[in-house]
Amino acid sequence: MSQKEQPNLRANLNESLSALVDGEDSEWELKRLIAEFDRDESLREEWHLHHLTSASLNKSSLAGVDLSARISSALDTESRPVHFGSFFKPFTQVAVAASVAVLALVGIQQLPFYTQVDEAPVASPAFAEQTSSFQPVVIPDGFELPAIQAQTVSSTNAVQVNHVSESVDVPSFDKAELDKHIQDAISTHVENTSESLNSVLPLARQISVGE
Amino acid sequence: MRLLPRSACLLLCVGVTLVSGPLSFAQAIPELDSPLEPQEVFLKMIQANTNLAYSGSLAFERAGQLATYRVENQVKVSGNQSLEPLNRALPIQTHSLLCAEQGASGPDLENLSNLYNFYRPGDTVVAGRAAIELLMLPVDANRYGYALSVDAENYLPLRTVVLTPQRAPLERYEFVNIEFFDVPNPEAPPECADSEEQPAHWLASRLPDGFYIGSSVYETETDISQLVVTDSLATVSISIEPVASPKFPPVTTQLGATNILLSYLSFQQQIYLATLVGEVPLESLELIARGLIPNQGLNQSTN
Repeated sequence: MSQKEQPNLRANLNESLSALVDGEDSEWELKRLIAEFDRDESLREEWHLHHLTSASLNKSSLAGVDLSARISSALDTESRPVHFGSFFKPFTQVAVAASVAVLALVGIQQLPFYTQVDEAPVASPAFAEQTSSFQPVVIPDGFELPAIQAQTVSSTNAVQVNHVSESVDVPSFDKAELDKHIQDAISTHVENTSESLNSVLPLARQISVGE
Repeated sequence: MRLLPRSACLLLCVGVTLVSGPLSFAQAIPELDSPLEPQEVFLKMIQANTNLAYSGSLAFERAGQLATYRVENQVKVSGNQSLEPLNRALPIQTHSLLCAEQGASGPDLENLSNLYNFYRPGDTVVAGRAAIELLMLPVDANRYGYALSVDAENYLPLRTVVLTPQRAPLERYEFVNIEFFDVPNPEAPPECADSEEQPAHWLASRLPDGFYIGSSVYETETDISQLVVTDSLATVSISIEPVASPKFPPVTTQLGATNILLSYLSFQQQIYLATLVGEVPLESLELIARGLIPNQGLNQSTN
């Protein structure tokens, strides 16, 4: 490899490293990084630095917390629950592809429903209701979608309520008012949780928010 | 005396653990002085939270910040508990428990046993006191886990570390010193008066596994619906209020283990602001928010 190519290679590795910290690396990039880790100490230091930066940005790292040797050992031994998004990623990709195929098979007559939902204009400013009636798509035998880890506790799903957060645009707002709204919500939450795991822990959480 | 080679012992242990399920993990740890099962320690801890009087100092660490407090818990004496910030100029925070909810019962241990794996890794010392370590690790990614150090004598949690489903610490709460007081004749607080409360005008139609609606109240004066969703341990508070127009962007924020989600809903030409607060992963809050629907037959008066 020529001297000229070295900086480019290093830059590519750094990009891959950054992507890995963000969980966005491909399997191929991951393998390449693991191979580089073995022989490049500076890359390992870079990896540590990336993590420190990420942790400080997230402000949620408690890396120094003393969990005691036994608890740490137990945590290492105990298997972690796999998040739906990562474990089922290959299956969901297949499921999405299968769903697309199903939609094509089900026929053109289903298209107006989706078109209507996608293209129905939002009656601004009041975010008027989209009144289309729900027509469930029938999944043919042999096709299975991964189960969603959720339960339905009501059978009243037919009610038309729209979740319009994505279309809400608030260009300017009073941050103090938002802070107060969140503070009030947390105060209510403290009342709801004061009898739970640790009776004074909710109070500590509330004070920390009030700073 | 060695009856089996080390490798055989290791294989045997792994095999027993795999076959007998996660709870056998706790049995693989050497026996402790206390014969209590992890679930029994948990139940005693819940009772201790409401039965003990104590004072002490504690540290609370989250989001890169460490706060220290002086705590007084006299719920069984005066009905009050208070926290006095020690490293910041903030007023004392007091909470009064004047009455207990009617029919309030302890946690649903059967439900919790399906949602968390309970372990007793061993013993430790916190605030100079012997403590039992108790691990409650979630079986799924819908809730957080807890690493607790429970006072071996009084079963008060002396240290609580909240863990993400991936076992990363989110926040820590730990006593530095603590003194317990005798409560001569502890009495249960009087039951709260049976008020005529209307159910909330909204329902949480989709919940993460193991969660259920703990309470549902509509506040007539403020036109706000309040829901409490819980799995008997983690709690999510939901308020839904009509707004003329969105005042804030739909934001999410995280403070240690506490996640907050603001979301907007539209129903019958009216916009509603839903605010969700809970010690659960953000994905769980989002799932609950997406399942909020009007409580048919009750919501007409809001429009």
